Amino acid sequence: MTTLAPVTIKSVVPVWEDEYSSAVFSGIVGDLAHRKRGGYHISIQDQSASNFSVVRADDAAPPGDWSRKDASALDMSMSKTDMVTSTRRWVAVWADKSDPRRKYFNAVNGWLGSGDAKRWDFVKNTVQTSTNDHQWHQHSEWRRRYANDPKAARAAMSITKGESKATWIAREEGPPPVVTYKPASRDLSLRIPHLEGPDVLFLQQYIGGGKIKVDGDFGPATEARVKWYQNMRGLQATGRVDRRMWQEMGITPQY
Amino acid sequence: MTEPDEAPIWNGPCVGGPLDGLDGSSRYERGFLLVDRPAGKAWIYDCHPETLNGGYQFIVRVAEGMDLIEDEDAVKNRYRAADEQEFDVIAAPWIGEDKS
Repeated sequence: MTTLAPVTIKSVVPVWEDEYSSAVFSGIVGDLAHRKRGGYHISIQDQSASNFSVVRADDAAPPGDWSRKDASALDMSMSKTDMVTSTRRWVAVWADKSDPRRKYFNAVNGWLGSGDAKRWDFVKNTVQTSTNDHQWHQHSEWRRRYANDPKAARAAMSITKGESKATWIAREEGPPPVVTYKPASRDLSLRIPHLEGPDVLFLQQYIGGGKIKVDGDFGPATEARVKWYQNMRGLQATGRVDRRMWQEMGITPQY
Repeated sequence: MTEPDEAPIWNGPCVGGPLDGLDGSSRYERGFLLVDRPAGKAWIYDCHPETLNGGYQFIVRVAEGMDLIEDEDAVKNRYRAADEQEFDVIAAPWIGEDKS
């Protein structure tokens, strides 16, 4: 058997153990007996092509081009108290169809502290009774497409820690934050790629005198003009706008 | 198409150690490693055929258990136990329970 344990899935283990004091790693790759049954603890290539775990759109390869060698499930054992907390957090995500973290997972088997263990299916949006070994170990299945996706691992960590959907979205799903630099908030110098921003624009307007392009881009022409200014003001002609030069320009550095 | 099915589970009473007299279960026929991380202790329960009733019982190897040192090697050993799939790895069920 050649089933492998993805590093991304295993990376969730210490986070899980940090969050729940009782939690212990209980397995990713299934044993030989497991191989006969198939499932997400077994790779695509080590089981029947008709197994339930290899036919869904985010699992089947081919036609998908993801790994055929990896397991795609994580078992973590916990005490009853921690199991209930953990299962509640995963079920909350299962229940909210607008939660973007759902897309990485196929199902989770866990226990809410009374009655039978259950299996919550993220694809079918169903819940059914599961085997009662899931009262002491939570079984989370990654969709095979994402078994090696670091973002899927971060989603698992996020759910495990009870992070809100809003926090996840703000950090992982939104556009990158736009950073604007006010004048005298940093040193300016010629770099690759060029430094850009309103502080560069201000500098060019202040010292340019119509001799350089005012475009907010610190290129070679701007560096040359900085050196000219520094020479004129008796400063060391480094071409670098540092705190000293901002002060010379009458602006108090803010860094 | 085969749906998620019943995993074989070995069930039986535990003998000795912190689970003495309680029912135990393991997904692997050799038994289970019981781990109490907050207390830094672990116990190996070996699965034995139970001669009287034809079922199984889990007998602790060392009633006092082993000290669980959470250094890098110990963690690797614990992870290896889960990877090797000969013994189930089970968290102590009493962690977090109100003892009052």
